[in-house]
Amino acid sequence: MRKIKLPSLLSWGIAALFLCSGNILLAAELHVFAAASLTDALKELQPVYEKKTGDTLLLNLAASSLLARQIQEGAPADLFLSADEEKMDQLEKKKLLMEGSHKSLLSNQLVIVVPSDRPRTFSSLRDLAGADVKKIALAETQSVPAGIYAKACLQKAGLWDQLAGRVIPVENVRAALAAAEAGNVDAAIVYKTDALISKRVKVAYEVSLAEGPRISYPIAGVKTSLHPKEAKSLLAFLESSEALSVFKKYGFLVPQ
Amino acid sequence: MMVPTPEEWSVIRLTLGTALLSTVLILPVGTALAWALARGRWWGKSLVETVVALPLVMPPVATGLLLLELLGRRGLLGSFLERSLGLDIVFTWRAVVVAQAVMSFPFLVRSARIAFETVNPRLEQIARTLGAGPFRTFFTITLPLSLRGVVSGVILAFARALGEFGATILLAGNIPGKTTTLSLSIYSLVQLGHDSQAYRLLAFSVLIAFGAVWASERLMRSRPTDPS
Amino acid sequence: MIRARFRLPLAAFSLKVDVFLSAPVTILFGPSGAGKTSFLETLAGLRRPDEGDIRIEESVLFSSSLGIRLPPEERQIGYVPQEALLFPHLTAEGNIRYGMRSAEQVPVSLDSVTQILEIAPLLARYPQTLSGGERQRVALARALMTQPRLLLMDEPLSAVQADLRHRILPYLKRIREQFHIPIVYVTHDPGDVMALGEEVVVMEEGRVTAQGSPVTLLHQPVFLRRVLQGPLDNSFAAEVVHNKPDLGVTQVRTEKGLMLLIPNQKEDPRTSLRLGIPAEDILIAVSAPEGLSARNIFPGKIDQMEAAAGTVLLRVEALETFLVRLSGSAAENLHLHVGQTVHLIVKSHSIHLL
Repeated sequence: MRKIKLPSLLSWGIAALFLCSGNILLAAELHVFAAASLTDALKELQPVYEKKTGDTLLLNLAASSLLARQIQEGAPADLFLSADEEKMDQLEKKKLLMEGSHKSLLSNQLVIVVPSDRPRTFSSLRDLAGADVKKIALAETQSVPAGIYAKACLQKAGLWDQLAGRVIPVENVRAALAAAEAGNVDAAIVYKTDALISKRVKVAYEVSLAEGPRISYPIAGVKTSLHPKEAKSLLAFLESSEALSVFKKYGFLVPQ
Repeated sequence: MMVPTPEEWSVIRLTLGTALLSTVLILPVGTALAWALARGRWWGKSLVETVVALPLVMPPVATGLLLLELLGRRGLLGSFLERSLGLDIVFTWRAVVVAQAVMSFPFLVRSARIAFETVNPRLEQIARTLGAGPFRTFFTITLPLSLRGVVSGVILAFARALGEFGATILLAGNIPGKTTTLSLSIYSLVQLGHDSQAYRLLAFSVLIAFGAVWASERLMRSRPTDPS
Repeated sequence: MIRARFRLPLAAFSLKVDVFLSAPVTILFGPSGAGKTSFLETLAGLRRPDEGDIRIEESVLFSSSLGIRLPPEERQIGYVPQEALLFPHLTAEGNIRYGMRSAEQVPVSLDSVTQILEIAPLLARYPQTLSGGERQRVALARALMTQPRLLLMDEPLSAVQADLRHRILPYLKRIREQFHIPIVYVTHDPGDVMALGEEVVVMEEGRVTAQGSPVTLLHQPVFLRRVLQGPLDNSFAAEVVHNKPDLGVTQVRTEKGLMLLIPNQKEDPRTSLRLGIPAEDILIAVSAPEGLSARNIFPGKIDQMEAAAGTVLLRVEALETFLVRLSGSAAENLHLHVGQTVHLIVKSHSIHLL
């Protein structure tokens, strides 16, 4: 048997010590893919959860369509929070979700915002057809949930054909918000939750639940997660009343 | 099968049209500036050289962001243009032209400058003593002798304009029918998962690129033999 | 009449001049780097002096006090640079026509210039295919076609092969005679001075150090030193009279009628030649020599005598004007003086073709 040298004994000892101290080495890094509209709420919840469990959360915030595609392409994700059911269903069809983890978590409301230096109120959706509304920013209407919802809303009101030529499609709902904040468009259709966190836009009109489409934010664990146990506990946390109160604070609607 | 659909045609037309327009717009300013940089010794020259080179070195989206700040409704230039001329730049086809022009400008200036520097300035001086003013000298002596380099600069600028993406998407957005250039269209098709359509546009891009290079080669070869 | 007074800073020194040029041909003579080219460029408007005044006849080309600065294209000054600088993308004719002002070309017409400079066969060719001398002539024609009121020539012969150099001088003389355009001609070769100049301006290190006729300038130690230092060829135009191949000589007659025997040439009678006789290869005899092998002996009168650094330079009139270089001791021994009639002795082999 080879002589065991002192330095290697030392390093083994130190390693053992660390192993016994539990939490640090066993802590997981969780990739959370979430819709852009959830940015602020999740950023508030992130340190709370990290402190509680010692896990680290890596937030990937973008349009749900982009995220869904990334997951399909094999990006490392543990949890997916989408802004509409369609993206989640896509993944479920491809059997990329953890069994039984798919739940509808939140809802939201659409609003029309205008740049804060040109405040106004619309009495109805029809006001979007006014001559002075030349550019309307929407999230991309073919794939991004916020855009799909906005288009559905306008179609429902019979205004889509008339307004389609004024639409400026952008990457995601936050980009639509930013366009309104910068004053480069006359109006934007975003979530109420987005309008609430911005000081540089004014809400011109709140789309009532009757006028608007049914908005649902589903959550699910991703099957290819490397930390399924931790992912499930994060899911549970996000469903907890503690988390839901934060979401409510930011204006999200919680389905009863 | 490889014939463009009407939608694809409109994308191709938009791309070619805006690239051509942006190249035509930067031509006078670009060649004038290139000549001033090649010949002159003036205060602020190195500052101008640096600024001109910026779009080459900065990430295109960064340039796009700067342009957005400048030309947006609240921007320095944008607000002035809107107030005095009623001109709207951001999120219109004009933004595409602006983004292409800014990004391809340094290519034209650099190539043209190098071409002008190869022309012996003494030849220009002689032309002056023969009675030609600065403009006539430029068009009859400097330009013919530097034509190869200038044309190659123009082609380079045009090609760069054709392929422009980063600044365009920030400044012009991706508005169907209005600002969707070939690159922007390919991008959104990929985003939407319509890969086969994206590949078709890719094929058209390659064809156009070939066409541009072929045209430039023909242009060069058809010139009367320049014994220099 | 050119009046030029100005100060132009250059790399090594400042060019400061104050001259009045009135001769039909003024030679600007001086060593390389003296500022001669810069002077021409300033006259042409290609360089701007710090301050000064430049006028031709009555028109002001530049005046710092009046704030006038005429651009080159308005000065009507023809400039023929050292390297011809023909436009490579134009034919010879294209070059020549570049500055032509109107279809009706008076007094300098395209035909007359083409004829005088013998460039008709060159017109359709491109500069790259022309020899140095041909290029110079085309450049000269090009400058002339602008109907200049002054012609500036910068060492036009330096780019031309030695044996062709003196082919251009006759052209210049013809131009002067035909078109009456004043010429300022820059050179560092004293031979050119002797052959062409009516007036010489000597420039050294940015200053005019002497001005006068070539003859009077021989008085100037500065000029003389230069003249004495370099090789000095007497050069003449001559015509073949007839060949005597069995005797190894050819008889020629110079422009002014002097008959000389030169080594046998194969040229036909009436052919024009350009002869060169080095100043140091001419012998002087105070009385008519007899029984000498030299084939050329003829009388002349000493018009001028200059001595410096043990060398004596004589200017002797013998139908043609000869410069003869002797050692100081030879001149002393023979008691040479101005006005004296002497005989010049030149071996036929001392005469070479230019």
